[in-house]
Amino acid sequence: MMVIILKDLEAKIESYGMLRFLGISMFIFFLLFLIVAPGFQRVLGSFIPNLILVVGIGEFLIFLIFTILSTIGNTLSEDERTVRDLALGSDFSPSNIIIGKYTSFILHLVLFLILTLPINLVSLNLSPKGDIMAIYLPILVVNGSLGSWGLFISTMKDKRFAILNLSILLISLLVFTVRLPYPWRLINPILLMINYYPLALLYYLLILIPGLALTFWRIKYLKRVKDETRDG
Amino acid sequence: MKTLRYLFLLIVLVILLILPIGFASSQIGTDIQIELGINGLVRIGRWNPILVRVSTFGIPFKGEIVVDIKEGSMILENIRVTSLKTSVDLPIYSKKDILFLVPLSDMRYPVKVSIFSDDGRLIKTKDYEIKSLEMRWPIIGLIGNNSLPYTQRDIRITMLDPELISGKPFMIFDPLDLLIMESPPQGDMGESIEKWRDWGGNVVVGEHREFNLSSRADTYPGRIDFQNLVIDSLESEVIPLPSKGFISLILFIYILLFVVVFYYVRRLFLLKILIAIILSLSFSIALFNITSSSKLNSTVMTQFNLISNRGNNPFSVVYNGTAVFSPYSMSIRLSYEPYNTVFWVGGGREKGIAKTTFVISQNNQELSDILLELSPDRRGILRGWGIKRIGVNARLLKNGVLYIENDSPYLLKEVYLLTGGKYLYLGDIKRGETRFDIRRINLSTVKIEGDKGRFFSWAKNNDIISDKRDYIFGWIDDFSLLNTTEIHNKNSYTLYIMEMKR
Repeated sequence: MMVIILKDLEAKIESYGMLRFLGISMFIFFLLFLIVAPGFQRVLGSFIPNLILVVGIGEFLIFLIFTILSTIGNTLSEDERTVRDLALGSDFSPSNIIIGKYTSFILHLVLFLILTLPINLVSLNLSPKGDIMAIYLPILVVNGSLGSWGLFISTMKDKRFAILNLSILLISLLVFTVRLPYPWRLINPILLMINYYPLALLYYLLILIPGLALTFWRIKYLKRVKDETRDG
Repeated sequence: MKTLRYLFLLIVLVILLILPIGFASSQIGTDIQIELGINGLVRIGRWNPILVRVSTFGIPFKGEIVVDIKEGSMILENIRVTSLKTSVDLPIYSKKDILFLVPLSDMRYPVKVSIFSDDGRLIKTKDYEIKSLEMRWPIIGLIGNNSLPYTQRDIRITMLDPELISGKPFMIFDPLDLLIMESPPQGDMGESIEKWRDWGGNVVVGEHREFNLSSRADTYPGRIDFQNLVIDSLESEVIPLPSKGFISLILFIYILLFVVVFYYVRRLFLLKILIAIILSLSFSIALFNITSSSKLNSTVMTQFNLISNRGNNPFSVVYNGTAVFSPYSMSIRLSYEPYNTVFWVGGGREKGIAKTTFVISQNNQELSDILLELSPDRRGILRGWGIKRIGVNARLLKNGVLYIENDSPYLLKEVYLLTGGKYLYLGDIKRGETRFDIRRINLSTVKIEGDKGRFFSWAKNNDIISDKRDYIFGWIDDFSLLNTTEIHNKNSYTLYIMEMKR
């Protein structure tokens, strides 16, 4: 399991694609800061924007993209072995593969979160009010639960259909649910988080468990197929 | 046996039912007496005492006394409620007098005194209506076995209990216009009366029957309001936020460093992670330190003080207008000298009722606190009044010599003489005596710029300075009626005006 974690993390960190993604993401956060941060102004007609909210929403969306790209396969890191590769091309047990891949993803996510700390702290200090944990905890929990579904997709050979479905699901959840009447609009993860934080975090744990269970089932299935092919 | 069991359960039930009553009535053994004014007499235009006497018997008392003074107009939606608050903690079998001094001007609303227990329950409340026109009549106070003097109509007379006024600050005598005593005052009360006399109080000792009631002016200056002046001045201020360019540059360097490190440190991914974490934490600490006090430092305060002395009074009336702005909607603690200064919350441009709380510490009466909660537009307006002893005496002698005696601790800056509608620049007046031969100097016009100029124009427009009277006026730099260590960006302008009698 440790081998999977270290190798996976190394592939992610050493990859130019991932570095490009992180660099561009950080630059986007920087641009958000540059545009929204309060500058020179007089008392008359002054306006102090809620910088931490804007940066927080920006981070939430970028981290969603990060999770999808880093879990569904090796889109950003060419040397990384997907769950399907490990299931078919190694002797690791399904639980080792799941725990290893998921842990390496979470560690990478946490590293990315640590990298955003300077921007978030400055934004927090320059905003009227805010809480740093109200940004980090939802990002960690939402992406953590979504990551399990990304791992499930990475077990498939043809991912296009699954990625399309996941994207449609995400866009529907984030955009189209906003206009729904109450309480249906609480399907929207951001609205749910705003209205019922931190209780809403439990909702994401309910998403995490089926994702992991399905991935486990898929790895077992792939292992069985591999064994049958070898025996055959 | 069964009956006994039921009886036992019944007794337990009764005890459980009675128990909360005991807790709820824990303040029953307390006697609280409230009195507004001197023996119930109130003088509009002066500082009036509110005395709350708390006596405990078998049960200690812990609670809070709140005095609410309301002013403003319902139609203009600018009602302000000012709360003076102090906490009381008394052991069993003890007594304590708590004194509030408030200047009264608005006769439309009652003065409300409320006593709350430690858990927030209202124990006692009293509303004092001050609508009666009699409250403008002068008051004569008698101490000792003095016979009542013959007076004209429209005068109120009251006997003062020496025990009640002994040991109290001298401002407790402020509602009085005249104090008649049988013998010279002694002890604590003597000191208070002497101080009051220094401040212009009128004291007659013995069986004198001739006295002058018109000499003591009102110490509460009425409705002069700086609100528009301070708001206009504050609105032109720059909010002192940390430099956006500087912070952005640091953030940019951080991102650049991160990308460079990740690009060039190859084959050592754990080292990369370590460097990234160290980089992130170092920049986080640096940026956090730069911006951590930005909320506090971005608060702006503008204070205008007008010290006015009409005709060599021993005291000057101080008018204050203070505007505070914080872009981050915070509560600000300010302090002032109690018993001869008071602050009212302003906010005429806001809807609804604005509220300010004044915390009066009974243990340390040198300074009182104001907890100013900024309104939704992130602004707080305070109007303050006080009386101060500023020893400046000026006389225009018949031989054309202007004599100024500055006995105050302040340096009067950029002093002008205004006489006959013309101005004469006198320069700075230090402590001590100064003489000017004004026959040889040409009178001119005055031009004061910036916030000081705005302040001066306001004083002229509001008839505080009139061309028809003679004045000396100047600026005091180190005077502040209201202080705070929480605000670093303070602009304070103090104009001293003395009206000279020819």
